[in-house]
Amino acid sequence: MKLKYTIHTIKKNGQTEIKSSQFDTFPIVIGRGGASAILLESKLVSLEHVSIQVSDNVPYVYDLDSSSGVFLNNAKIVNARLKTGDILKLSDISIAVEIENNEIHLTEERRDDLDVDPEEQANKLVTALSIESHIPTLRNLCLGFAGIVAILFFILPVIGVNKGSWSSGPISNNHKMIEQDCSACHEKAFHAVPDSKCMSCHVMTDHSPTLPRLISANEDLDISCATCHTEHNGNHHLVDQASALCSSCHGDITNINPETKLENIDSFDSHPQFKASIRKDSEGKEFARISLEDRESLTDPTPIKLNHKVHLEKGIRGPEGEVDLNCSDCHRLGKDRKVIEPISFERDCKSCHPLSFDDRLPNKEVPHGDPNLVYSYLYAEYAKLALGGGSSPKEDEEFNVRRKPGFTVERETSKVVTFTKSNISKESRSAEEQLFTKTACQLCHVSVEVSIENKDVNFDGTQSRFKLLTPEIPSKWFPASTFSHGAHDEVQCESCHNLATHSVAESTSTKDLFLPGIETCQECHSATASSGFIKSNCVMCHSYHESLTMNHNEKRSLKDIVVSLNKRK
Amino acid sequence: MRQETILNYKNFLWLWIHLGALIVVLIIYALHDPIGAPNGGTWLGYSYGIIAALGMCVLMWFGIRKRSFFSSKTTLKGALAVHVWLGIFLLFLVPLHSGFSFGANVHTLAYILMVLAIFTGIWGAINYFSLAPEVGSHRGKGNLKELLQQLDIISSSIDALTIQKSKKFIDLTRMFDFTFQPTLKRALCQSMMSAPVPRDVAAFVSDLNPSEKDEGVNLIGLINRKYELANLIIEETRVHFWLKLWLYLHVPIAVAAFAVMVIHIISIFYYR
Repeated sequence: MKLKYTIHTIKKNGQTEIKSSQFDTFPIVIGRGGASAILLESKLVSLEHVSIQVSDNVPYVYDLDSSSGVFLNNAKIVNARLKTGDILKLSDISIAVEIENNEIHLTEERRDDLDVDPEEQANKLVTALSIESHIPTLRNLCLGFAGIVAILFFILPVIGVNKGSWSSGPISNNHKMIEQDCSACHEKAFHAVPDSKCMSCHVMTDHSPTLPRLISANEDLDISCATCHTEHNGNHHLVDQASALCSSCHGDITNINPETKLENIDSFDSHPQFKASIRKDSEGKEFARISLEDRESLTDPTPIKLNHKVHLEKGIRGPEGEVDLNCSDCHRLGKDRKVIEPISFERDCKSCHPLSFDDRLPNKEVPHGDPNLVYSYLYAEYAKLALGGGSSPKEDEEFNVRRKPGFTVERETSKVVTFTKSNISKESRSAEEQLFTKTACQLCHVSVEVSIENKDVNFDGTQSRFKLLTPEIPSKWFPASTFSHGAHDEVQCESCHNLATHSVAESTSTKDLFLPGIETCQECHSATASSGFIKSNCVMCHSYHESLTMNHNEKRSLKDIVVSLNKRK
Repeated sequence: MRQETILNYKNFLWLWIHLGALIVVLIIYALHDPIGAPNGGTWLGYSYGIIAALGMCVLMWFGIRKRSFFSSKTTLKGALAVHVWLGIFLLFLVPLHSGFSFGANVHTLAYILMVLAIFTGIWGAINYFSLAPEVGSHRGKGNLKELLQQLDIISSSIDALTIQKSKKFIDLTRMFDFTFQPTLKRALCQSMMSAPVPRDVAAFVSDLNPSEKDEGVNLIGLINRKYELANLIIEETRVHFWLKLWLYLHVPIAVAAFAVMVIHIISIFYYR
């Protein structure tokens, strides 16, 4: 048997050169070098790759422990019989097998590398080893990256998807339910949130009557809801408490509003002395703002009489024996734990000062209120007594006489036991006069007897002959601020409510005003949190505006709000 | 004289300028007491934002400057010095711009991408200083192409030596020679190849027929040289890979960061 090895060399110009060699001594080794009879031009082929042997006139191929293996018809083999049509593959070289007339034909197709520039070959390999040949070009990578972010974070948000990615920060808890609907607040692109959007849900009082006029007149005065209420900062700052928000105008208020009566204030440290709102006269509706520095003018003209000194003495007589009164026995903290509740006769005075008027009617007390009502009550009670419906006095019983606690008042009592209409009137008028001029009423109130010539008063009828000057005691002396008494609960009242001249316990007149000045506050409070002071901002005492109740016909149904604002499915 | 590099350009001129600027912006930030917490919406936030946006433009400009070979107004080294130190400066300026408020949004994404771009840039600079001296051709050795050509010649010479040699000689060759077809993946993953130990080789060579001994010694010399070349090729391929890889991350990320920054600016004014 013989072996014929043919090499078809395909030249660059397309021509094929055929070169054949004949071998008849088996085994025949094929490889890159060494003892190989047939030399292959490939670096991947082993020195001695396979050997062809013939046994009983049948050709076999044997792998000579080659590094890359032997493949016959794409199947890895160690040894195998060769047949016509087989393709023998040694690394990157394919050899076609044909057996004809006792002769093995092996045909290899080669591309002519001789014509290829070795420079070019090397360059190709260098390129293959570089990163550039394995990834897209820089330009394409840039376009790709920029394109992806532009689609995800620009185009999608603009068409309404992935809008949250444009949010500058988490929304406050109060507005969480409208978070999905940007247009609930943002009306127009590239425009700030308009106040109208805020006010579609929140109705507020104006800050001051002059502010709207100032804003329209002064272009620099850029004040909107969002100036102070900044959103997208989480739960912080929706209602900011920085004093700078106030002092940005109030630090220069005399310039911004030349007509103002206010002084410029930068912070609590430069806050002027407090000014109390005090009625100009006892019955006037007009108020004057009087600085606490001006102690001379600082008297309360309210027509009410209360002797603090007497009430604060130790061991005064109460209804059930001796008592020591404290401030808070009469001045009680309101439900808001801030403002002191107004004095109530029923609650604070009555137990010691009952409004009884006749010892024959020991359990009867006139109502605390309108003098006409008092007189009507008296008339009705004496009428009942006259008609026998009332209880008659017991001669031996001790007189139950109106008196101030601790004092005894002698009173001439009527011995009349039968009543006529004129008697009823006379008794009533007598009791009325006692009450308004000598006993109960005049203790605290200023009463005025209506002149007999006054035709408006029908003295035969049910109208009272007395008038009381209405004591309108203000619940707040500083109406523009709120002091939280509850927050200062552990502080003794007289620590702050005191005068240089005398204390509350020494005061005999309600004209005395025991309002603490700013210097008292500044013992603990300061604009800065330095050296042991409580950092105090404007809104600790003042508020910018108050919340109002929304107009009934502007309210929406719960369903409307949830569906339109939240867009929940 | 010390060699001037992109870092110590003009005696660290740009480092000092940016360090000074950083101290100034930090002091202003510390003194700044805005209403609420510091954020991008305060006057300082806006100012730092504008500076940072201009800074980003200067950083991107380097991509243009790098390619304009005939520019004479600035030196490429100087432009790169500004590029490096300005990038590091922005790393600190942008958090001050935002008042350290970060979230899952496009604004923070712009910062993240910028940070990634800057860190890949720093990585690139480190690579430049640590790997560039490793490039063979920078040390008077052949470049990759020459190494490959040499390897080709050596391989052919080894093959030629083996033709019609004794079995022992062939065995020797088979034992110590190797096929080497370099690819990028192999160069990156494969460890360096170690040449045969001289003692082992000596035993085999002394075992050869006396007539083949000289050629045996020659063969071993060639094989050793082949190992050496193969290792040089692997090393050179690796060095070039790492010298370039950072750029393929740095530039696209920087472009994306710039794009997101533009989106950030549009979005904050869109929803004022």
